[in-house]
Amino acid sequence: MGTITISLSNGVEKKLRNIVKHLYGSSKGGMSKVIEDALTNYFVILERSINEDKTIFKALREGNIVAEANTLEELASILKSKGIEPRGLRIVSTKPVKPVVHGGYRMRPTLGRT
Amino acid sequence: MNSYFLDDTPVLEIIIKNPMMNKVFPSEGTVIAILDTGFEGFLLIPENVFKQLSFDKLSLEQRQLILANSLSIQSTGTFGEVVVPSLKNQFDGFIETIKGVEEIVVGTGLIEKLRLTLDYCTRRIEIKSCKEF
Repeated sequence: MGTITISLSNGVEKKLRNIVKHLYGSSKGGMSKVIEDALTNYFVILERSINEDKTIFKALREGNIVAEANTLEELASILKSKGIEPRGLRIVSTKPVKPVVHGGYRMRPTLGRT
Repeated sequence: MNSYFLDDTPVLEIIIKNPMMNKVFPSEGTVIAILDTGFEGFLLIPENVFKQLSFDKLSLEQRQLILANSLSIQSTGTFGEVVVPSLKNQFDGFIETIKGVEEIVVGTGLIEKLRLTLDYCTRRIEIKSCKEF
């Protein structure tokens, strides 16, 4: 169990104290519990962000998987080693492509015709 | 300096690859891509670049891009690789094209993998991988 001294802005300190009071009243250790829970959740978010890259790419021919790998470079290397012609292959990812997304402001609206 | 302001627009120097067809764009050096947080895709490229990289030789997916005026346009794409030399790192994602687009645009699909700081006061951009703490 460690002890850390930290500085918070007035706004965050006020919110923190209100939450501690709401959740634990005046019981001892409430502040530490809230901060420990908050940091534990924050670490999960960070880990998730870092691990999101663990995507698997698959190469398909007529619906059948002919190769799969963690990166496109690896996938290309596998295809080459198997002597599979890449033309016409469908590449898919375990992180699906969203069917509709915002195009941003760089695209000229005059291009929209559908 | 691989990321900077071009006039008022943040840009990033990148290399685009199609590992399946063993193609690289540009063939030497890097190309400037615009950082656009309003584009929710990974990378948008002009049709001629798409063809130079032989992405059109693969089976392609189509989807809708909603434009700023709420109209939508059909894009065509497949998976490719973006190399960011300043980070010594590469990222895989969906690379698409639409008719008439002349710029290379990096969207949030790639930006979300970066720790990006835009400082308009000093005209400075800091870019790191999310994995760097």
